[in-house]
Amino acid sequence: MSDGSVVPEPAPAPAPPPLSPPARGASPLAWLAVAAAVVGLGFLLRGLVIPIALAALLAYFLNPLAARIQDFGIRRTVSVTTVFAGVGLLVVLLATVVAPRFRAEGTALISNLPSLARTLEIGIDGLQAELVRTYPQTQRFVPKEPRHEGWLFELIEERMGNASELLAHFGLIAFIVALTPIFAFFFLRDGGAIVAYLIDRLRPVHIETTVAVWCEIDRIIGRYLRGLALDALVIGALATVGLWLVGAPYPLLLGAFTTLVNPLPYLGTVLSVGVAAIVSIANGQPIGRVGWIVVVYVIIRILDDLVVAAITIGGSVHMHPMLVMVSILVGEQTLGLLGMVAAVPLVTVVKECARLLLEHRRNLARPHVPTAGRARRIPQYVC
Amino acid sequence: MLERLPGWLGWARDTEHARRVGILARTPVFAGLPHRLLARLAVQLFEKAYAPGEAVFSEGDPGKGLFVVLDGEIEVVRDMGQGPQRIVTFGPGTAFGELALIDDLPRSASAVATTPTRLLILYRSHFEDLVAGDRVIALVVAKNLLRLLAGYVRAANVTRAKAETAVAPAPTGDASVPPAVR
Repeated sequence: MSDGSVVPEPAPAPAPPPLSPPARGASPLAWLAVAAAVVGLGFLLRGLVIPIALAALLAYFLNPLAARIQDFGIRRTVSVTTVFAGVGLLVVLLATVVAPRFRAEGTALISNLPSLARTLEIGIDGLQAELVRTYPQTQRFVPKEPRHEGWLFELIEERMGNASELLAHFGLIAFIVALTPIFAFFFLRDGGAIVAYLIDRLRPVHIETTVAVWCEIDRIIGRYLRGLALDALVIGALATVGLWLVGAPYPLLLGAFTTLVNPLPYLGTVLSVGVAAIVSIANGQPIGRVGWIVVVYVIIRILDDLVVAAITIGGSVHMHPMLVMVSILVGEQTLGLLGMVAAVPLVTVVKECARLLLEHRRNLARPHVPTAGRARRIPQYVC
Repeated sequence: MLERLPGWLGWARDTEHARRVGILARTPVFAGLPHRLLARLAVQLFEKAYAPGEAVFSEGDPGKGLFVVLDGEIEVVRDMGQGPQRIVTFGPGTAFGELALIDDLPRSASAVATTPTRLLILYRSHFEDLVAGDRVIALVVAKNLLRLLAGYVRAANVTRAKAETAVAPAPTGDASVPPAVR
């Protein structure tokens, strides 16, 4: 059917069926009951919130791969199993190749931490004394009592928690690592069927616009989140290689840190350079090495802005710098470093959803030319 | 594609997907598209069941997608001034609403299910993803859409010419040539 170009048959039909659909689907009360049940279930299973959220995110990231395999006419269960087998193989490969090196760096960092902290401590105390000597008015910002030896290491230990807390955290991490792939498998396999079921329950009069808006949100948000993750992985890998090339210490750990903080606009690079420089200085490397580390990150930043982010994320999603900063600050206050990293994607998703819904409302409110008028405007002798 | 794979892999084949691809291949908008693209489209389609009398969309609604009839029958009606009139009926394997894929104008008529009907729905965003970045595909689909539009315009001309002939005095020239194409 076309707009204004459908051709009426000369003879009118007898009695057309009614245009208003009969009410079908669940009543608002039933939806309310379902919502209450979901909230209640969520409260009972609150311990599972993190693995479920991670699994949903993982399934969302892997969905395009499963869909691509499905394109070959393969059943969903088989394509999802294939994706999981591939991801599992990749994880095993990474664990075999990268994990020993990663573990070695981690062990070395932990065992060297007291001496590294001591080096930094001497540097900080020296800088502080120099500052007070040069600008005596800064004395009031400096503790009156001289700090004892090892204060920085004690501070780090205090922030990281003691051994028993770490063991408790390890238990939680193991629980999450074990449950997440299981949930993700079922989300990935049955997510489409659940969406299809929900769509089938929608009232026909709402379905076209509702699902169209959902598709648009899914397209933009999906591209943004997947792009962000891919961008972080590529930049982390580049940082690892770059740091290794210039001889910086712990390149794998610092590369992993770069991956983690890369989604932070503006601050991500600053944090990465700062931490890499501090670790380099604390390891007794010359100041020239720090210069090379800065050069590596500047090159990576340029590559990211000009090539990597353009390919992975694209330019479809924009946020005002002020909103970015406020999001980061609120995220930091709420959940620390993880909150900072998650804040910007979360706010971007909410902002894009709101923008699309408002755009849709505006389109609905836009007056349109009556059909009969449009039909009359078709030129008669087009052929 | 999987049809060429050995029989022992038949257990992995999605028969519903194969059926959808077959229906899409017969739809004029997608005529001439390679099988791999039709297969990709088939994964993205939503399916929806309609009871007799239920409206698929109403005149004036924003057009967002293309509908393909899987089973049942859809009647398109339009208010022509003297109450709703049936314009056309779509049966299994036919598609309607294709212009929603290329413009933002509201629907020019209403579509109503007359029997228990199942439709496949393709949304514009999925369609745009399909044609984006592939000039050949975009060209094939654009040609199909143009062909459909040309068909509508020709039919409209013939209808108008018939209506004019019915009300106006008999033409003095060659009466065998319709006025619209004379």
